[in-house]
Amino acid sequence: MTLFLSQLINGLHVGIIYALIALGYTMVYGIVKLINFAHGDIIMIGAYTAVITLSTLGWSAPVALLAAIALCVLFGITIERIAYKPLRSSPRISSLITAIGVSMLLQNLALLIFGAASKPFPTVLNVPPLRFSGIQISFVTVLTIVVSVLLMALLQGFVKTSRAGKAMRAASEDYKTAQLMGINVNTTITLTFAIGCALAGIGSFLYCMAYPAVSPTMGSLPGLKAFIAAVLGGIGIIPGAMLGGVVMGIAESLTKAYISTQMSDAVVYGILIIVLLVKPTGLLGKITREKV
Amino acid sequence: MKKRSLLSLLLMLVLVLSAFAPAMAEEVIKIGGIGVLSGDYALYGLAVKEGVDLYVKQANEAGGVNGKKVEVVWEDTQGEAANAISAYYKVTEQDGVVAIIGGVLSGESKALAEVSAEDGVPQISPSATAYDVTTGRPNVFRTCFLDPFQAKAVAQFMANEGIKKVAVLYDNATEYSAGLYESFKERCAELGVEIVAAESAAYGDKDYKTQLTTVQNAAPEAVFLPYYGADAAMILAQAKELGLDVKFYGADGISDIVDYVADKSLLTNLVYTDHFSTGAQSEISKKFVEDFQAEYGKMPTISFSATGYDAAVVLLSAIEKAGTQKEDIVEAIKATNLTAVSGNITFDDHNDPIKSTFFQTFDAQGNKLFLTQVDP
Amino acid sequence: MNKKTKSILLNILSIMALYLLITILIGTETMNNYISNILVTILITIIMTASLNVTTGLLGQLALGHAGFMAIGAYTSAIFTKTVALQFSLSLPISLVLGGLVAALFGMLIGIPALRLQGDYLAIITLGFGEIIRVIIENLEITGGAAGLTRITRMSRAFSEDRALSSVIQFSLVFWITVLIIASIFTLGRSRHGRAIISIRENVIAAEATGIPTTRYKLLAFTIAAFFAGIAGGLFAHQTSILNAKNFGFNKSIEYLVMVVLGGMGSITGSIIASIVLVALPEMLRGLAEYRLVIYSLLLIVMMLFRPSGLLGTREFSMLSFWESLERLWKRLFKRKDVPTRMPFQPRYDVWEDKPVLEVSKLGISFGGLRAADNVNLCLMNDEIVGLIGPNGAGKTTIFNMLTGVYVPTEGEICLLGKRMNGQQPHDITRDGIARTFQNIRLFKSMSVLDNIKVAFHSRMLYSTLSGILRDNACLSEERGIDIRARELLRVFQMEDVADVQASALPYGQQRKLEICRALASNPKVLLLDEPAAGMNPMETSELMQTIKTIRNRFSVAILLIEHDMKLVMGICERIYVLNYGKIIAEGTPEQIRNNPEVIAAYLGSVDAQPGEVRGTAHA
Repeated sequence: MTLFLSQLINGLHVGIIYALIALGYTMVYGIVKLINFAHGDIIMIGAYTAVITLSTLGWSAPVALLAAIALCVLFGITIERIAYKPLRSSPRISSLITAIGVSMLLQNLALLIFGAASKPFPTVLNVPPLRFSGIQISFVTVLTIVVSVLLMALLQGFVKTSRAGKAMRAASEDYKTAQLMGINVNTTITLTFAIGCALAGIGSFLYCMAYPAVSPTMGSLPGLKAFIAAVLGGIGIIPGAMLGGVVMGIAESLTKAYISTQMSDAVVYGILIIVLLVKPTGLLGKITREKV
Repeated sequence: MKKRSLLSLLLMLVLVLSAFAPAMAEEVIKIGGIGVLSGDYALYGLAVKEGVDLYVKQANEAGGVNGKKVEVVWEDTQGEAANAISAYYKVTEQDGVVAIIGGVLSGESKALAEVSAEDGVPQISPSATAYDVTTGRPNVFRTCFLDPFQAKAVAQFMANEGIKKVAVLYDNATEYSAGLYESFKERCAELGVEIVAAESAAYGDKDYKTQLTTVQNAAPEAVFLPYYGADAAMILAQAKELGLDVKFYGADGISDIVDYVADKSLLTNLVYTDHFSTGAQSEISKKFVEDFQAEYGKMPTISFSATGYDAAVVLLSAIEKAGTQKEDIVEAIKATNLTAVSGNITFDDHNDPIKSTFFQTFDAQGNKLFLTQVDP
Repeated sequence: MNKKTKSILLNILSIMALYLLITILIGTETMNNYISNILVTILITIIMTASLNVTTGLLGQLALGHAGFMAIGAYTSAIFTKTVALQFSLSLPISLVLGGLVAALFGMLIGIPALRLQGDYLAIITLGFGEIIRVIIENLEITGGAAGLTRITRMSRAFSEDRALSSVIQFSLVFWITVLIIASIFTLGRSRHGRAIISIRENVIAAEATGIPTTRYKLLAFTIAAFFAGIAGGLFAHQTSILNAKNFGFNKSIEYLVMVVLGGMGSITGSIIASIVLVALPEMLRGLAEYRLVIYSLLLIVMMLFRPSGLLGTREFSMLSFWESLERLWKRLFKRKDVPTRMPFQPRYDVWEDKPVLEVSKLGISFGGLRAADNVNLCLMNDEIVGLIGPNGAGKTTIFNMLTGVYVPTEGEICLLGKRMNGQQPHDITRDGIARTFQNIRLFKSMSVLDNIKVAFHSRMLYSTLSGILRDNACLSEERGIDIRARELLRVFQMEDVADVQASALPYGQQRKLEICRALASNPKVLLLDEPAAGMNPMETSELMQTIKTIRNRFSVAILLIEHDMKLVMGICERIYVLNYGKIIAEGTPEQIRNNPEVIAAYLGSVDAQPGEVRGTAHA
């Protein structure tokens, strides 16, 4: 039982990081209907920023975190402006391919600049694992879960109540109509990218604390998984991303623990396929029909 | 219109082909160096390259081989078998090399061996530790020990330390890791060491906590980690986070772990087998370390630099004795008996060297510490 | 010898010359193994990109797991040649076909569930399946597990003791397989099946409404693409001798996708050129290997930003006409008799003089709690023009959608010629005799006007996919028949002169007309027109009225039309139904409707309005 609980907590840890990254995918998809493949690589950018500021420049952890967030946001906005904005009215397949291109470009540029070998992420917190009646939980896990839940609550509040949040929701319903209603869609899209990338920046820091290695391709796997989490929960829906992330993390962890490690990816994709077939819009998705 | 377009296509093709025209023969002996020089495993390939280049430079400064300069033509495989084959054809048919040093990873070495065996071109791999690379291929040799050998040596070492219960974390989707685990398991059974948990976790997976939790639950005295350094670094960090405080053992692939670990004190718990130790006591080894430092300004911490150096030593001395005919070179390599940087080298029926293993560990600053040398 | 024959001969000679030149170069060892090996790699890449282009270019669905099918083919083929004790020159071709078939089987298995989804979701599912294939291969005993398969017989040595001869045979085998595959993709693309696949890319709803069983054709495209990828995999396995599942991952799939995109999605010759350049270039610039992927990704982005249709777009590099000339030459050489012309199969509708052609009774549908249609009774007699009017949101289009199978009614019955139609797929309904147009025009935009019409003949044609690929007599005679029919139809609507114009280039009025024309091409018994005059100026509208009258005079078809333009409705309809809040509130001749107080109330919201006021355009 304690083993099962430990595995559950392990899954929760991974899942909540997926959820944090998935938010970026889902918010962007909600508005511009684009799978931002490069979102995973934003994590890599955040991680390199953090590792350089921490190890090479010797900055303190909070400053490094801020630097990581700032650079993630900067990259996110720039990518949107240069690569995605001109394609907003093109066929979806074009912008999807562009996103794949941007992702490849970021990875390979990092490869040229930093080399293939991963860099170690310095230990930021040196706190021994916590014990609760026989279960050991690492402090990083607790921190990750607390921070992430807090961020998600904040985000939900922001989107539900603030003016800009309402503009985002309106734009994600129908951005052309939102434009007619006087909402500056360009600003809203930029804001969406900025928030998504800021979350990715924080996510990258938390990710590196748990998995202390920074490499050019480090973003692709969590990026892909987070994206799947977003689809699983219902892409475009913020609580869906959170649910999807946690479901995926736990499914992955339990598969590794009780079925087969090698199969964990297959199981994750399997779950995705089944969910999409039974409910093509994801767990929390609404059914929309194309008007004929 | 149609005519012109097809003709221009044809013309384009001819142009493309002419770009591949073979180079002119020169008064140098060319050898091919093929291995992974970019991508995730570039570190190993670059270490081999440094070792080979160092010896070739020394040989050329000493007047070359039989009065001719030696030139190494390096080709990158990016770790892919198909690229290794293409690179092989390029160096043999385009550049006219007489022998090959490579590949670096076992997979690419097998692909190389497949084609080099067809032509009988001598091939020495400095680092392919998988068993069947040389099987049935009289022209293929290596200057590193084999996986079964080192895995069994680790098991023996553990038994000698008095360890009775051991757990294994390995990647059953990778030949290197899965192969080491099989041989390790076999030897443990013979020695009466119990494997209390054997968990599989993929390379590059990053999240090993699930498996480590299971391992922790089985309460082993030591954990065997047949991984490369990057993954092992991740495992050590997560083990610490979970409070799993036992001794860890690794094989040669783990030797590059230092650069992947931020907190070097984690490494004091790790013991692994290596092809070479900078703490090795022989004269030739000491000289290699000195020369290497002088050339590159760093220690040859990745032992494939030493086996790469040895591969060059074996190959050039064979060429010196036998000339540049491939059959003669193969014969001369087969008859090798010399003291090289990583120990004595003679080849058995399977074209494997009969060599020693070096057990190493680390100090709290991440420097490698020589523990002991195990002979076959 | 005329000019045409000369150019045909020259074309054939160029391909043969290319082949002969290379074989001679290889045979005399002028061209060494390095180059012949690269040529083989190029050819295999061409098969991969051309087959991926079937799904991505022709079908228009982004597939991110194409390398997975290659892996299946490679492993199947390699396992076959390794385990079956046959002479290599015999076992290799068998293994290639087998590899293709197994890959095709997987393509189909994956396609069946995945193709219910579209666009981004489908892309993700193909990605997922690709990864699952990789993981499974890595964990199976028979595929060599982690170590992969090694010591697979290599083509370049196995055919003959003589090295040069063996290389020549290897090149010839791969060359002609590639030529064959490319040729079949071409011919497939030009057959009715190819048109069906392309029409799905253009507009899936219209394709279904035009009588294309879209799911089946998506599946067909996936299966064919997987089959060819499997063959490419088999060749790859016997080129490299070693297989590792890791080499067939997501990145590999993306690499092929890059080539397809650069060459132009939909252009097979574009794929060929992109494959040649992107394989040869990195080989020549080996030193720049590090920059290769940076350059690829930049190319991809820049291409999408400035030339999203790729190098060639959907155009083909003279090959299409080349192929036609080849056919003509073939006929000339073998003095085959001219194929007979076979007119498209015409469904025989019984004469229904006194009974209604279409009878709808008690039809109803609910969306959630909303009753969009309730107890709707309609009937259409032969050759009748009937109007269906009502305020916006009354449920008119919903009724059309139920009649054409887009929505499944919750209750009631739809009978066409006495046959119950409820629950049938849209394409089946079209085949049985109901055709429609759409409120917002849905044409196959990038296809020619003629091809738009030809797609609609699909359900009236018989020849098989294989016939289409082989372009045998069955295919040619039917194709010739529908070409005549399609042109006839265009002539009726005075559109013959724009037959080869791209549909999207037509002016608005003509686009409407084309859509009606396309609906008629499937030879319907009932034609549903959804606001045909929407967006038309008065001149276009009066022209449309003329067109509809023409249809009635020339075709034996009952017309039901939704329209807000009262001048049109009152002018040509013999009977009118009025719908409000999902219910029929009135039925009668234009005169009766014009004076019906309930109708006036529905439109104007007041019972006090004077009779005769419903004139002109009712929805302002």
